[in-house]
Amino acid sequence: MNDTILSVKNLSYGYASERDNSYALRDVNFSVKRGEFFVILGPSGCGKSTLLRLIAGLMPIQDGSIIFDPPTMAERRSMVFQSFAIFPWLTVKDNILFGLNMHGMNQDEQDKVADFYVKELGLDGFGEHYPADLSGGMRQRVGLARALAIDPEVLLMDEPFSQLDSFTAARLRKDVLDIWAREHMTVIMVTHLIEEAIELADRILVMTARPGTVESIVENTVSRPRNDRMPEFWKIEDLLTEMVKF
Amino acid sequence: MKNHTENKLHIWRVTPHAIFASFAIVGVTIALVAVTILSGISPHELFTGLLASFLRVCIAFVISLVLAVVIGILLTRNTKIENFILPFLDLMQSFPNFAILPLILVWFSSKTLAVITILIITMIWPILFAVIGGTKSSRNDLAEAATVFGAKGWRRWRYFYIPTLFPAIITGSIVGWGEGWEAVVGAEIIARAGGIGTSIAHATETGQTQLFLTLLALLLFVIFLFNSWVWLALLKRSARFNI
Repeated sequence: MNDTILSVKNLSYGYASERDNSYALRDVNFSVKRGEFFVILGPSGCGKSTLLRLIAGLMPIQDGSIIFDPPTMAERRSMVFQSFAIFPWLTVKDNILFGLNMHGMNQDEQDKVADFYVKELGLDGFGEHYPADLSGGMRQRVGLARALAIDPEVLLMDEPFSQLDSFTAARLRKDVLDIWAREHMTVIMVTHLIEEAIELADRILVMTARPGTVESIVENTVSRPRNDRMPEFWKIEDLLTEMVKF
Repeated sequence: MKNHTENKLHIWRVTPHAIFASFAIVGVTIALVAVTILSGISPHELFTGLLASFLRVCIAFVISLVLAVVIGILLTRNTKIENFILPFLDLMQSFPNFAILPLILVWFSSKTLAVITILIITMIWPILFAVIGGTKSSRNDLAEAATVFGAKGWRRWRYFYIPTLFPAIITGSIVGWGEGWEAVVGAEIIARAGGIGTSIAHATETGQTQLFLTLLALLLFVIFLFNSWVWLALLKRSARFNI
């Protein structure tokens, strides 16, 4: 089996309302390996969110291509949102089950899946609660559980920790790493935080703004488990800090 | 937890008013109905008109609701069509409906159908504009999440559009429902189409003051009960639909 799960080729994207020469993305090329933790790093406005939305199929491709290998992997995409985007009118359990419900899974199986992910993400006792009752960290746990419940092969994450306080974010990053190690899915995550990228990524794609282009793809060789006191961590942090043009 | 506390506070504030209004409306109505029946007017005469009007408002409401929600959602999916049609809707909204009541009465052989038509063109606007406003202010991230997790076709309607728009639909419906009652009484008085409006007109013209007052009290009673049992409950429920 080929070890590339996703290839992005000559991808460009422009917003119709802007001038002809203003591209959000210009000639982006890269590929993602099966099972890797791939991080897209860049300053705000560099088109990283646009890139992730194109991969997610939320926006139409204008120019270039995004190819999943095999193509059926496109059906196995899932996503975690910066703003959590959990449905306020559904309980925690029903939020987690949203994807399965859309695909018509039967009730008994759904209940089993919900119970599993409620436990897995430390939401015990909150299954019947509504999102308004939850803290930001808990809401993002629901967002993550909903994304995992459909058993994805490719998990897309758009700045999933940026709306959380630093303690909650650190804790959730650890949990995400544990889940990734256990479930062996491919993760593509967008972030603007260099430390976050180094803590999580196997490879880091650095983007430059106006137009959004690939500056470089950096192999992150820091040994796991990582912490920001390791000399190798600093080394790659220096390298990336040089590279990211804010 | 915060949400629950807010709801409780809200109830506390509303309760004294609700109790007062309940006593006033329920008490006065029951007294008037009792006296009227004792003085020889049949319950049939009291309640038939009211029931007919209530059914007309209900039927017109259901039709208006479905039309407004479907039109509102379809319209806002395409910005070009929306920008083109919205000014027309705005114009039609301010059109005085009773101006075409005589025409509608000529068109339809059934007065009931004519009244229901007037009701629909009265009730649909507040709901439609609430739905359009609701789609404007709805969160794009929720729409994206619905797409990612496969909400397509009728499932998107059932599990995404309707719940996102629920608060807007309820507020629009409350206004539409109120305007509907106003219109039904007016139309029934003008068209002599039966219903509570015609009963009221008849009681006034024949000088039956007590019957007239009882009918008014009954009307108030039904509207009050419906508001506090149905709309208030739905409004409270819709608070949960926003974070």
